[in-house]
Amino acid sequence: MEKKKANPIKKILESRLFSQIMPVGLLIVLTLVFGVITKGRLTNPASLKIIVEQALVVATVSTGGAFIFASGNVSLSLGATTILTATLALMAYNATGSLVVLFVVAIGLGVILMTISALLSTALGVRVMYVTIVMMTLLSALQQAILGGATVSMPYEVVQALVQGKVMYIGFGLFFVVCVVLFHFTDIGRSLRFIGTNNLCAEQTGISKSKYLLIAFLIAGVGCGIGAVLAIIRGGSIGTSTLPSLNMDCMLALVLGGMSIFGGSKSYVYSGVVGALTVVVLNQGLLMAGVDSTIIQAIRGVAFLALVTVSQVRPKGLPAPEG
Amino acid sequence: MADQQTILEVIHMDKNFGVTVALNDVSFSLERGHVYGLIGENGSGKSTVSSIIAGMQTATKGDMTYKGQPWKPTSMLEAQEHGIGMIVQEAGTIPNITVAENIFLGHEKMFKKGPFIDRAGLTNKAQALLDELGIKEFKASDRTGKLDMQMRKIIEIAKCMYWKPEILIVDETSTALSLEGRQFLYKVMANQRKENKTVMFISHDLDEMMEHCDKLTVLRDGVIIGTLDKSEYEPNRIRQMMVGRELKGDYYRSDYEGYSDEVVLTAKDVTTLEDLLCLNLELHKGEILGIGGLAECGMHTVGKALFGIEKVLDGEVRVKDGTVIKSPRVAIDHRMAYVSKNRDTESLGLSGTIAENIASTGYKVNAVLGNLISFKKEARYVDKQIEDLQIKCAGKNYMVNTLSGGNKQKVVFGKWVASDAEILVLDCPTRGIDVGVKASMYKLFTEMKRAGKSILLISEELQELIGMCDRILIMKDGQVTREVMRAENPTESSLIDYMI
Repeated sequence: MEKKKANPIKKILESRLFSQIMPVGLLIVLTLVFGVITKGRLTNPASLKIIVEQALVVATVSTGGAFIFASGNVSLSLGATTILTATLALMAYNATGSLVVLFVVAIGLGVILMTISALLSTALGVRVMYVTIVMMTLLSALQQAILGGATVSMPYEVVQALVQGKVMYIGFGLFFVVCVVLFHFTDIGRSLRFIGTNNLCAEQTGISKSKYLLIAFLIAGVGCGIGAVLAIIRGGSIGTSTLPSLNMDCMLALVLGGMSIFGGSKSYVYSGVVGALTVVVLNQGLLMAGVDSTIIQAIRGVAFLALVTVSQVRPKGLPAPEG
Repeated sequence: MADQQTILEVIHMDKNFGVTVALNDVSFSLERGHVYGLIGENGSGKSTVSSIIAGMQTATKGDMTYKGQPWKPTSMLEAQEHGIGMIVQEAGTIPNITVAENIFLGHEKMFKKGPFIDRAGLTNKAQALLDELGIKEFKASDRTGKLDMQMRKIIEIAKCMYWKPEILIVDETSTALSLEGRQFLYKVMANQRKENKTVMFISHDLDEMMEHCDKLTVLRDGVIIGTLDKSEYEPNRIRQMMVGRELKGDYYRSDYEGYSDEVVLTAKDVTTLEDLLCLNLELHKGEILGIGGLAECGMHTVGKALFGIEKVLDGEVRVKDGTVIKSPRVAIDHRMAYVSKNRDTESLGLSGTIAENIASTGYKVNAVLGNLISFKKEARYVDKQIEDLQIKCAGKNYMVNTLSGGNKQKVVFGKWVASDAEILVLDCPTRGIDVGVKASMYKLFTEMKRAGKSILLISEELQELIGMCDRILIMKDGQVTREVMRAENPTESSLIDYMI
């Protein structure tokens, strides 16, 4: 095939850069639109600060989750893992009064719970999605059994100290930087993306699916652990009704952030961050515009389905059949 | 205006894929009772034009007439129902259903009994079709997934023939078939001609094109270069029309250079679950060792077993330092490479970019400061292969499925050549590749051999085995039954005799 004089608009639409920039554009447009609708209430500095703080938990968990999604697998237990981890870590803190214990238990438990999912999937040869459905149910039931109807809280002054110490920003920031390096600058991210593109080919290229899936779950586990600490700091307490739609929010964040739900080549670690901000802007914007919360849930569901559908469509100009 | 004899006309057809022009002002007509050959390099537009005729996609510009009426099919099913059937290049069957269900895929309503599908009726009808076509290798009730690639291709031919097509389009089908399979296909094509129907045949095998086609149309870069009648066929002239430059004579090796005594890979009594039984072979440094045989002889499993993909139940595969190859990772760490026959499903990440595919073998070598990958080194790693192998692409960040078959194969080669593998296990590496790319691949094999690399070449093309290999192992029933040396100057017929 010969190369024709490029149509500049088509070229831009087909470029990889465009698919990377588009989610940021969507975030800006949504913010501006809701800014206008809410007559500036959404875009004032105080609201923007709340949006960022709200997005941090989802951004952290979904940044870790991006490693699993890149391999073409869908994990449904990120939310339940985070909340159970937060519950137990907070109980451990209350028992010891040590912040070190809080962090160690949170990250350790996050990693252990996610590793169990990974091992069950690879050892039994069961798809990640099915294993994580079971884990999600199991972990939620466990939290219910531990807490019953009660909540577990962190002393107010400790929460305030952590908020003022910018622990939320530092925790997320460190994790995000490490994830960016692992995802884009080492063989971990590349291998996971290649597994997502064609796992049979990846195996024949010497990329072990089991090994890299385990690594992905370990990283996601760290994300759940840090996300658990951030959830504690943000809310001050954890109960069975804390962040009930965290998993859905993470999945929605990833696809809104430009990641293909099927993983592979179009996987970016920053998707979780951009998407988390977009999810919160969408939630807050609709709430401030007076939309009922049930309808907001429905809108989020429709948005998720629409994005998944769109990500299945082949870019028109790209895949030419055989010549 | 089309006459009675003309069945299809393509008029000033253009097809663009984004910025890439696949067809540029293509016009031709097909008459009844002829076998037309469409030939050209990979990416020349052959499959594009045939897929538009068969309803797989639409043209950007231009018209078609079929039986004198405007023709603009919206799907393959519509084209099939109107008498245009196409056997596609890549896999066109679904593995988890029966042969019968594949044959009537999309037409299940024909067997509707109330709210249910009459499965028995569907299977009986499919079996009757297989009997009519003389297909005895499998039954209509068999599960498709358990059949090999060749048999699945035969299902596609049967599926197409059920509709008694006025125009049968055969796109690169013969490359997936063994000698017996090809004979079956040629018989089907000859019957079409006899019944005053039309065949449009696409293949890279110039010999079979010249033998079976009444006319040959040559495409290059989406443009028709010319159409030749049978009396005008001359291989060098056709090749020149295809590639746009003179490509004379034989492109195989002409030397009789030997190889080192040093054994780099040994298979000892290798037995696998289904195909191999006590297989023994030795590959030497600087050797091109060929493996050939009839379908079902187990030769494709040899490649997988040597590379650690297929589980070896008994026996072992060792490299020269004594390491037993038990997985692809161990094989790659010992500088082995494997190119599968099933390129699109096993050797490439089609929805990944060209760069990602080539770079997939180079994570270690492109790392700096431990495990950090240098983008600069990686770019050089990829660019070198695109340049050296002359991969025709709009850019390295384009998806592999935007490439033609030959260029996809070059990407597969690129990733292994870049890894600087010493032992290459190649299963049908020139399948579906045009003459120009083939020539460059053979040149590359020869250069690799001279550089001391070892190649195990599994091939269904006897000429390729004869032309390129230092030794040929003939396989039957999962074992090596004959060894033929290059110095013996084997012929195709002598090899077939050994295979039988």
